[in-house]
Amino acid sequence: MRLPRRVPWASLAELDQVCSWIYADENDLDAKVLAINRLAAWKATTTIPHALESALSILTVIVQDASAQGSSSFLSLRQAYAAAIIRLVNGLVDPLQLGAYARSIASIAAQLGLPAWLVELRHAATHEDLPSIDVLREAARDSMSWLLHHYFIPALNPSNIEPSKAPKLRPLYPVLAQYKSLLKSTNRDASLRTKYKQEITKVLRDIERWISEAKLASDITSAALDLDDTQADDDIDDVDPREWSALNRLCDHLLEKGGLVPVSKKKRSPSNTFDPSSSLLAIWSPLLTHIHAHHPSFPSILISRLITVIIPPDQDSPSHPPVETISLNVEDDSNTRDLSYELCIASWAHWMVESFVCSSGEEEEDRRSRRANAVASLVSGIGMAKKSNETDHRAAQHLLKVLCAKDPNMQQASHLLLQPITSSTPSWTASDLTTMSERLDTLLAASESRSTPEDQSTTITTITTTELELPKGWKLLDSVRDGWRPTPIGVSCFS
Amino acid sequence: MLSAVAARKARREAQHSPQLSSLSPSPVHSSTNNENPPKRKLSKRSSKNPESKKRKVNRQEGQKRHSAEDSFKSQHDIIAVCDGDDESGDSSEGEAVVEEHERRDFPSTTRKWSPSAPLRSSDEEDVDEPEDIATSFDFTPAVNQKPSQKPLLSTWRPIKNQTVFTLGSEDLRALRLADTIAGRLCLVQKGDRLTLVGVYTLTVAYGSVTLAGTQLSPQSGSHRVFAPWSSPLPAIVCATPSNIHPGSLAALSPDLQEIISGADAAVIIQELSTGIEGLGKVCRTFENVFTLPGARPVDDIEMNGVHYVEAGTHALSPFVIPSSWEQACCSVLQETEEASRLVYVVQGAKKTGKSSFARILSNSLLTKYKKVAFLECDLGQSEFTPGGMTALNILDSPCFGPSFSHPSIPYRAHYIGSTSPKDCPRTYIETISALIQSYNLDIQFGDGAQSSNLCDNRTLDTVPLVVNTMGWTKGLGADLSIKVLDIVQPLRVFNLEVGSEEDDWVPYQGDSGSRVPAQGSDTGFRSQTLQSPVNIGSTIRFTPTDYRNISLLSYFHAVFSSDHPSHDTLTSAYATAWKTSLPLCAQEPYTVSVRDAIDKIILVGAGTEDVVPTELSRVLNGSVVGLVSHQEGFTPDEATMDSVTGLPFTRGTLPPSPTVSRCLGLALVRSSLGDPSVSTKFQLLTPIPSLTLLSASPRVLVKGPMELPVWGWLDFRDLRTVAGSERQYVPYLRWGKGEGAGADRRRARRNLMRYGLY
Repeated sequence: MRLPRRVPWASLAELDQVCSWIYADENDLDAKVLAINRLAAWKATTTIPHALESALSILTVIVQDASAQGSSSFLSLRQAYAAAIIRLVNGLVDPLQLGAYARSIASIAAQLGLPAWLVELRHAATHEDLPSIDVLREAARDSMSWLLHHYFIPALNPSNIEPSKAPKLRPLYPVLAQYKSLLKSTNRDASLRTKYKQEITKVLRDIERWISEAKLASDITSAALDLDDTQADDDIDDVDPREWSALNRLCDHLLEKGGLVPVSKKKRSPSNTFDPSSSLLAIWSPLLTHIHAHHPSFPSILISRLITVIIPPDQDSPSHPPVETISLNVEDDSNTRDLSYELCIASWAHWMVESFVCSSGEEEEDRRSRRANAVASLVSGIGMAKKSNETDHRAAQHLLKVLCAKDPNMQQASHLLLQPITSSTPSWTASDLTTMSERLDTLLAASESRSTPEDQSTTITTITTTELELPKGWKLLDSVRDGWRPTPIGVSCFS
Repeated sequence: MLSAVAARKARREAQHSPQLSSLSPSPVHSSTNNENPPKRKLSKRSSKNPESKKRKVNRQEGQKRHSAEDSFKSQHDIIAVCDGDDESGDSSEGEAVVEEHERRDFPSTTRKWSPSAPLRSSDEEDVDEPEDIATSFDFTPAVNQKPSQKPLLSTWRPIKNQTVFTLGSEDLRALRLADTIAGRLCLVQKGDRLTLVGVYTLTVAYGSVTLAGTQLSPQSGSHRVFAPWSSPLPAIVCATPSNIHPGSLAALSPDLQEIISGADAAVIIQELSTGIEGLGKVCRTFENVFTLPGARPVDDIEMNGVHYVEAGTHALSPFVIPSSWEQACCSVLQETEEASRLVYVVQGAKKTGKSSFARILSNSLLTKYKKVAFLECDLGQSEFTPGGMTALNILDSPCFGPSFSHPSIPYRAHYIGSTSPKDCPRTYIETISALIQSYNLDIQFGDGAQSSNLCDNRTLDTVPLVVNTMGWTKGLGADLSIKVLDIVQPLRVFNLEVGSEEDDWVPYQGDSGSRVPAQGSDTGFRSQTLQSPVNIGSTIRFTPTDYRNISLLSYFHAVFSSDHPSHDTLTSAYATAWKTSLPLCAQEPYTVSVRDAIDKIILVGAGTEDVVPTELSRVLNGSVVGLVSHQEGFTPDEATMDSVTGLPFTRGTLPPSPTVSRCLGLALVRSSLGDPSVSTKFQLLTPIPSLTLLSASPRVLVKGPMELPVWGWLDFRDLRTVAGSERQYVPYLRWGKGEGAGADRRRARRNLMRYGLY
């Protein structure tokens, strides 16, 4: 169940009124004072949205500035302006610091569409000379109009959100290519390792930064995604949906040809143990380990993506996610399936399940559960695609075989599951109906017996409210005598 | 100081061990290992056998799950007497026990409770070799060198007409218990451990048992026990066999006497209906915490609202009391009476078990003293009040259950209005010193009343004080803690040992790592460091915010006994039941005429000075306020009515001084928007009994930043509407995500890492 959120206004009309007090007439100071009073009252009731809090502090300075023309101290005004703007920028940027490492404020601000000069002003006001009053007034005006367009208008017109507004994510391909070439050269010549060490670290950080950006982008694109911190009924083990989507995008890029799978078909063939060739491993395993170190859920996401790639899409739903992206830098071959590509992917999946070291103290137990998961998705995928061409999932079949070879139980289970279903609907007999009603009875009985203690408790706790002695001015309302009826809290409850 | 690597290692270990401990063989294994030196060498952990100083071991205990074993080993070499006792059985017998346990517990690795065959054999084993079981699970401080980690919740098993007997109404009457409520007589042998989930009344019929570290005997009467699995589960343990002849049971039927005489102790479990289970409906985070998750075991005790639980699982964890806690409680009870002012302070960082220890300490003090005072300085997670106030409570019987199961009308309290003193450190300190003054003058030596019960030989003319402090132990919080210590002048301070990540915190005058009591320099108190227990499971699922929410909701739904005597006698009223049939929005409120009943309205908290009188009723609508009464004859300064609104409110007024005022409790302003032209009337919801309202007459309302949790705004009868109103017409609530930049509340990250800084 998604919990609602506490907001300071009783209805959006109240927010609308505040908005018009602020923006209807720029020179109407009285209206602005009304808005300040209302916002201050809201702030005393509950935690208000950051945009409103910023609006309150900026407005307060604007009104003070306008009414105190020619006052003795402009320093206090400049300080008040500066503090308001610093807090505006920080408060907007901070919630979007989603990764383990800090991103630059400028890059987040750019994604938010916050003017870059406000970010500079924040820096100057915090660490350098306090900016001049002119600049600060201008900044306050800009901030207020930014808040109008980015907070008030979307908040008051909830349906008018434009998904196309989402900023485009920069391509990862160049970064991955750079990584690949660096690793290739160090693998070829070990002496270069120290020379390129710093560059490799830089590239790895760049990839990490890209993941953070992808997380943020997923936040903005999917407005439906409620990122409330009250995840009341969500499983605690669940991965953060933003992280999940970002890692999936990363996997898309890794699965492109030229990524985990080399462009050259000759280099794709797996080793004898059905692992990727040693040169491939040497290039990519450092990256995979690095990503995993920062994102514990990465291996499971990658494995499931790898498996979806090798399972042929159902005829009914031709748009399978990886197919869209595979053909980005090679000739369009999404319709013709590429066996060497799939075998290479399958070998990666095998390696990820069997050899990738997820954590130093990993037990065989974890590996077995990972294997079981992989087998389960393979079996269900293959079973689903059974009706399509046999040759379509040779890679998947092979992977299944290799995975199951380590575990006789699984071998049996997968064999059983993949057998064609022979008899499905047994003939209907009258006794079936009685069995069903018996089961229903037991179910109902179980639910009844569970509810009895509660019923008892309610009868016991009902207190009799006769005439109570109360202090002067107090009176207990009664639904019969006073016509009181239940209403939501905050609504006066008289009919 | 521990390195970051070590800390990370410990954390990883902590992540792994819940799985380990949920498999029951391991605990049994380890406990047996400890008695059995040859076997222990096979143990994985023997590699880090601590040859190093004891001090180092003590530090590790705080962060490692298997700490108890470490501590045991370290003490193994020192206390030779107990070793000899433990190894009285020869080693081959010990090994046989291990196998027995493994066989018996193995099915539980695949199923939570197995009703299948191995049960039988284990029962026999319990009968055949009681000595071994007893030594593995002994709980008394006398043999406190035992490991405290026992994720196996029960060693006792309910077997009808063998260990469990259904009591008829005659038997219950003979035992002077309510004869209409179903009861079971459970026979326990020395070393037995019995864990129940749910709500029940526990009466010791014969012998003595400990519950959550508190010794109970037939003299101590009946106790209400609240055992939801949202908190670690307390166990009934038979520590020492009784040496009293069961002649005291003469009133019972001869066959029952016969039965009881064969056991070391006998307890009576009775059903208890308080309606507290309904809080799970109100706040669904705590749904079904009083029933067993998953299927019920077959060998249940067949009572409503009480369930027997055998093995710990992910959700169920036992209430493990570190041996140092038991020692501490024991030493407190042995305190000589020379120091007449018995004040004990419990200190420690967040999540170190301060509240638990404070509760255990006051419970064990109650075995010696008839009354114990409890001063709450933790505004976030208060023990006896919903947060936001400092409170002084008087206890006269031990409390078993999490804090939301015993909300109270405190003896004295002062409203802070926030879950942290960060915005009002001065007021916070003032309220504490007012409460201490009240303790010094009125409570310390009792109220001179004579004990009505002749069997009760507990001390009446000394009332010890337990002070629970807040978990904010850095920066300003540390300064405040020092001030609190100066005010309360403790006899002893218990520092709960801090985890590895808090290494920059220096406990005040405590010599961490050393068990030797350090002498405080200026105040002359003794300081003692205690290890904090490692709670498995429960802490992961429920956050401090969840506990705060449930205790506030529990308070508003609570029913206090209305025959609460006037506030001058030394008592506090505790909740007797919970009224959870209706949500808050459908409960009949009080209507309060502001002109007749309210002298002053005060807003506290940062930024509230800017609230103008015309906006006041908007601020109060739907808010939680403290009902404060001020002393007679004291008129609040400049209590001017605002000419426009008719409300007694002036901007920036400070709350009345704690020396002349007290907070009775909280109220929810259900509605404050009336027609100001008539006479403003507020509608309030409060669980405070009418007699208390009448006698103390709260005429000041104080509103702080503390809010009603969203759960309290909802109507649990139909979650799609609130009191019949569609979602879009419900004020102050918004379903779905906020739109626009900055639509969410501000959130700062404190754990951001920066490149180049690691």
